[in-house]
Amino acid sequence: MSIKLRIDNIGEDNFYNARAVNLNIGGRVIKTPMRALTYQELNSKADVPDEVTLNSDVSVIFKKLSSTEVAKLMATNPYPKRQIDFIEDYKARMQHSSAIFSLLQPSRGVLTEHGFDRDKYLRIVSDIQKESGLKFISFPWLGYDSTTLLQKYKVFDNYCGNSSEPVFILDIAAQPRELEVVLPYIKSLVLSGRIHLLGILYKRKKDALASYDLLWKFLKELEVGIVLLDVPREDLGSLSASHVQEFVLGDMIALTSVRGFGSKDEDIIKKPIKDRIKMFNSPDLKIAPISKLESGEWIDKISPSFVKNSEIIHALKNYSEAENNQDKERVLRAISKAHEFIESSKEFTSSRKYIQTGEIDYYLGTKQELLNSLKTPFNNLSTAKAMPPIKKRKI
Amino acid sequence: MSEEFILADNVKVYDLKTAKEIISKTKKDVRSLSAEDLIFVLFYSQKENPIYGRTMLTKQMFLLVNEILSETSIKFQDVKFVPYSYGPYSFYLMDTINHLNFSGDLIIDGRKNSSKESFILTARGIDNAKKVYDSLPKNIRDIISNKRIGWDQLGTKGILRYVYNYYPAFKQNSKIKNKFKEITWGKGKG
Repeated sequence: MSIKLRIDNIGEDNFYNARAVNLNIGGRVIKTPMRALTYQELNSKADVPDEVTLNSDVSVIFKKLSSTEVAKLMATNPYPKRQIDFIEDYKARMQHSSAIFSLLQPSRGVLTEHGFDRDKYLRIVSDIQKESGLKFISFPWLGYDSTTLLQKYKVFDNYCGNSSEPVFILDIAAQPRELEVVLPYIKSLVLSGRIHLLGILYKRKKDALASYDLLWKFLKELEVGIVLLDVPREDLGSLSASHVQEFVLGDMIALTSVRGFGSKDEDIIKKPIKDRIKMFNSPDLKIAPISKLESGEWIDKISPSFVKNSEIIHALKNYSEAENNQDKERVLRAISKAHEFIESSKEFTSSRKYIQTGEIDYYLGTKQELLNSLKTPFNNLSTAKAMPPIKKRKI
Repeated sequence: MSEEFILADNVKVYDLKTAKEIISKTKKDVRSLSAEDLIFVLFYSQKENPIYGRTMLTKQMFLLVNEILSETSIKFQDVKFVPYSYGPYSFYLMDTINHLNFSGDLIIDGRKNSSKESFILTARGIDNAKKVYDSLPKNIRDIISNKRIGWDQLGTKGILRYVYNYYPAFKQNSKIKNKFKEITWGKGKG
């Protein structure tokens, strides 16, 4: 598999970082920043009464495993087999993407548990990925100390051999001193053409300021595609977190996986349906509940994203029927996520042009909420004072 | 020089020579697709990507016929879909799949009747399919190519849900129809 990467532009200011990268995988060109497709977004698509296509050149099968799941993975035979079947199934459904990779990442709490056998976990998840026939094999963040991690990286590189390419995953929440030890090795693999993708686990910027600073400074000119994983749907002030991250760190951005039927938080479940279902709005990049959208008009904005839009309009007009009906709520959530993927991908296409041409200030001038968020990242935007707008100019 | 008359009811009458020319042109432009051609079209639209599972294959063929080709003037053979164990099924089409496998146009790999059984064109199949595919208008080729990605993304469960939703007559004999709840909007809490 021939892979080449070229950095088209790097844009920096006191309050944002962004870069435009051109990744050529086997003759197909991937332009970033872009939104990666997750298996959960594919599930949403299958629940929408439509046959819309979710186009993405990068697909991610990301699962965050709980303590119980990690135990089952390491102590039973059926559970790892189920993971292989799971990955194979989604790999088939994602086959039109140029790059597909999976990550079975233990949740952060598991890494600090006494007796967690990192080596065994790594062996099993590596074999699961190889058995699934993936070309990119990920090395999850397992909380090794830096010296051990370096040794494991080298062994893992050999394990991948010529048939597959390693994708190392770093946790941005790790201390900078831990990351500093492994970065030179990663750089050497990039420069030798051994790796082309690097995974980074998301943490809100204010919780990992020093690590964000370190990674941006180190990676910005490095020809490796940065896949930001586990990104929540919303940031502060209901802004789409993936569109905020585009100006923080990350070339390919993949949303987190929410397992089960949404949140189990009782307060959230008790909210009325019009507050439970949220929709993405490209102009302000916000994800707002139906209750906050203008009546009538919002349906006209959402339905054109779909092929059989009369069916979608019908479902949205009758959204209140989902109040106590889980099947209907599942359909509404699916419409919301599929719509967000489609419209957010278009928005990435739009912002990318400005990043490529060095016109980031102009783009941010058209997205006032995003600009405010980048300038005051630690405030709750609902109370933050609006920043003076950047003077707009046409390009 | 050709002659053309228009009758009172707007029917056009041509001389024999012109009529022959028109018929010959029509035959050339609107090729009637056989069952084999339909299979070639579906596979060639994403020629490097397999289709996984017989259920997925038959449902994609069903949608190709019912949602794309039947909306155009392109003529095609009726492969006679019937409501069967997993929804619409064409015995004729599956026979043709086996013939194409036997003739070396199509590779069938993986455990039979599982979602891991894969179907993909061989190099010979690609050559043969190209001729058929290229005879279709570009806009139709683009639609098929894009829809094929969308159908593959649905997975078996997703494509069944879609087909059962929009073609309920074809799910009447399905062994698994109860797994797919019918969701009707606009009827209160239904």
